[in-house]
Amino acid sequence: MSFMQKLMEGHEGGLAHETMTPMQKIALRFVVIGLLFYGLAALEGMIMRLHEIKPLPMIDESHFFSIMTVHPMVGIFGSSYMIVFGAFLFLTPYLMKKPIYSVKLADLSWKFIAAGTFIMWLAGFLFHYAPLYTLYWPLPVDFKQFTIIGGITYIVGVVGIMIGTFLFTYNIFKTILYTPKGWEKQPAWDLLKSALGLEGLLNFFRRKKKEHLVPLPIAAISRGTIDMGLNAIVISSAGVLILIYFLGELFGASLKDTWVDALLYKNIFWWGLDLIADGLVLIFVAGTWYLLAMLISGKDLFMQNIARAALFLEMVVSWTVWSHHLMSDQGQPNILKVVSGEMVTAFELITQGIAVFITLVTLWRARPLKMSNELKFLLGGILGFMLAVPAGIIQADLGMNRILHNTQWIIGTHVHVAILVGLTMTLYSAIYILLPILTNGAKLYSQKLADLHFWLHLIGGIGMGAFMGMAGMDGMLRRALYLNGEYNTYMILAGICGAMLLLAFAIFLYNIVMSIGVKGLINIYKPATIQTNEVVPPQKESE
Amino acid sequence: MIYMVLVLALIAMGVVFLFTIKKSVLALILAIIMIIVGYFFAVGMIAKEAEDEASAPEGS
Amino acid sequence: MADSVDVLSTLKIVYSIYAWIVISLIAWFAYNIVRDGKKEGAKPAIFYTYIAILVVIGTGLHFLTYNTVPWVPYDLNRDKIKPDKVFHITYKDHKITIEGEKPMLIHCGDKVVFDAKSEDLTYGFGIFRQNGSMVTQMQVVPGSRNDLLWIFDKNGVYNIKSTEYSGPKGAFMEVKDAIKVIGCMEYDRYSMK
Repeated sequence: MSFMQKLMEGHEGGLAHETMTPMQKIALRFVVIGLLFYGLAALEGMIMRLHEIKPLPMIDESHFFSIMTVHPMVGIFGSSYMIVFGAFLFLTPYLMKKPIYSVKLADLSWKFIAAGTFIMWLAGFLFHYAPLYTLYWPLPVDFKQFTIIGGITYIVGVVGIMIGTFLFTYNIFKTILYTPKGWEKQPAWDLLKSALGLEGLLNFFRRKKKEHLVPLPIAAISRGTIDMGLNAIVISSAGVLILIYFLGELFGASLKDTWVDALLYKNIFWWGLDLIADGLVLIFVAGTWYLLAMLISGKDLFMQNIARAALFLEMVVSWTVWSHHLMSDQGQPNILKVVSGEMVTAFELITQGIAVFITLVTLWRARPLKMSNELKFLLGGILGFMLAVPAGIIQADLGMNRILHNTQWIIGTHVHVAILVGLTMTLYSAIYILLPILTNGAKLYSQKLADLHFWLHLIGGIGMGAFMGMAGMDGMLRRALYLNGEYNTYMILAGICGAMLLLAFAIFLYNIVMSIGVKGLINIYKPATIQTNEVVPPQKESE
Repeated sequence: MIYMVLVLALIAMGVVFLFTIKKSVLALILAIIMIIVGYFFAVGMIAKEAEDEASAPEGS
Repeated sequence: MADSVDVLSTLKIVYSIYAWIVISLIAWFAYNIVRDGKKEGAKPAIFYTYIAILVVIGTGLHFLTYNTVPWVPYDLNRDKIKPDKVFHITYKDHKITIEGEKPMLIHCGDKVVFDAKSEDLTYGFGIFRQNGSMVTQMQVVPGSRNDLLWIFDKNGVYNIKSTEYSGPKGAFMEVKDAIKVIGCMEYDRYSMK
């Protein structure tokens, strides 16, 4: 078989798309778009890395910061959200052993998020709208620096992402709770109580414990989805607020930015954003680790009840930690800095520590295991959080925050190691384990390339975080620009690691395209030939 | 989809909070509690909807 | 008295040791998970000891820094401390203006307050050594109090930079040689002119 033939048709028959259910196709649509947005975010990251080493021609400050504005949005919403949505829209009905509530809503979700992310990206690319994702009031409505069209485009994009998110949250909860046509009635309220952890809480006070109605990964998906919904409300509120100011300006009625208290805005914004950073990411990741550990080991989870309790605790903790972002804000009350910023945040070390422990022990009890792609990426993901969570706990301290806040330590050692090594490697593990289930048995083109992807990503991710962190400890700020080579040693080393990450992704993409073929990729976006709300084909289920 | 209506109401509430709350920790915490409770209520409405649909006679 | 250089040097060592321990732990786990051997799960005593260690580390860090990092107690109690000198700094249109004497002259060991005010956007107030390392910082939020109490115990000349992003126009907000500390026995070797 020639290279071109393989590229077009895929490895060993490529993708048997005619055997796929609509939900399998939709899940893959999410994942493919999510991976492409990951590639875009990685490219943007590399451009910024290079610019910090030697300023690139044609990139001025407004361009640089517009890249910095869209980079996390593309990474979080365009990539991570998309991959997670695709996986969970498939896994929720799969684990609940019933059809998805609405295939149409699932299909609409990816379209809204993909279009929203692209429009939001255009706001940066075309109009250089650059208030960063933090949108610190009143920067997003600073008409001296940004145009009205840029701001409105950005908000329209964000609205698209939020609509897609709300459709996802509705579809997930409805799938867990509804009774499919012709089925025996399902206890919606009891299912909800079990999914959100209220049953577990009541069990503490009951002599006769009630059984959990939903599997553990569904409990994690539900609790993470609560945080996702809450966050979407906060981001949407901020979006509407900004839009009001833009429309006011557009129609000649300039509104005073002092009508909104900047510190209060910062509190509400970070409360909302931590529902992602300290909420759903940690909850979804823990739930995914548990599921992966059970699938890889073929055994039940070790200490399942503790795991459920920790997931509930993590959800409550995520509602109360936001003040660790405001420890260098002198107007922020001390009580919030100490209780929310320091003490509650420390709980994340415990909840994430529990997830690490339970996952590793579950795997250990099943040894010897084959070092499959899903296992090695899972271990990489666990390592990522073992490095990044303590880094976060360190910076959430009144003493350390004074000298670490807004430095490269935060964004490197903590954020990028958490996202690139912890989250992304967990997602890769899920992709590897789901690939045969979603494609009805497509074969991976090259194991050697998968190994290369693993090592380049792991070393590149940890290395980049480490060198950024070292630069941060030497005073290099994040959200800043250095044009005179001030931190060049670290920036060159971080740049090499960044290039490894980008290369790792290119290798992975090549391996996947060669596995399912270009035709297979295109066919994912064609309507399914099987019409069913079931997630896998009927013959698969009976196997 | 009463869930979506409630979500829109919560977003509107969020905008009102952003305009009205000034320098009050208590008001901030109350606003956060209201949004959490409101969202749980909205998700509860999905359960109610599912319960009603399952209880409705076939074909209605 | 410990300064940011001392605290960050300790962090570098402690975190590097920690990082190598967890990397080795996962490598050890990966090496052994593919080999046959004992399969039992952890005993409850081991699990609860592990949780207790996490609790002690998570909360103990804050007690440790409260007692060892000098700026924590006086930051938390700054309302009750009478400063020896107050410097007023204004931020507007991406410019940092020091009201009064420049450089801000500080005597060794004096309790000084930097009182910053923003008339438009959110900025940051950061004090940096000549080698680029940070001494301290705070956020400068419009409509909010932004007061930082600090005690210098080394002679040196320091720069001020905005540590918060305020749009592309604020990319290079800096006041060179804005602070001069005199009268100490010790010199800040990274901040001498």
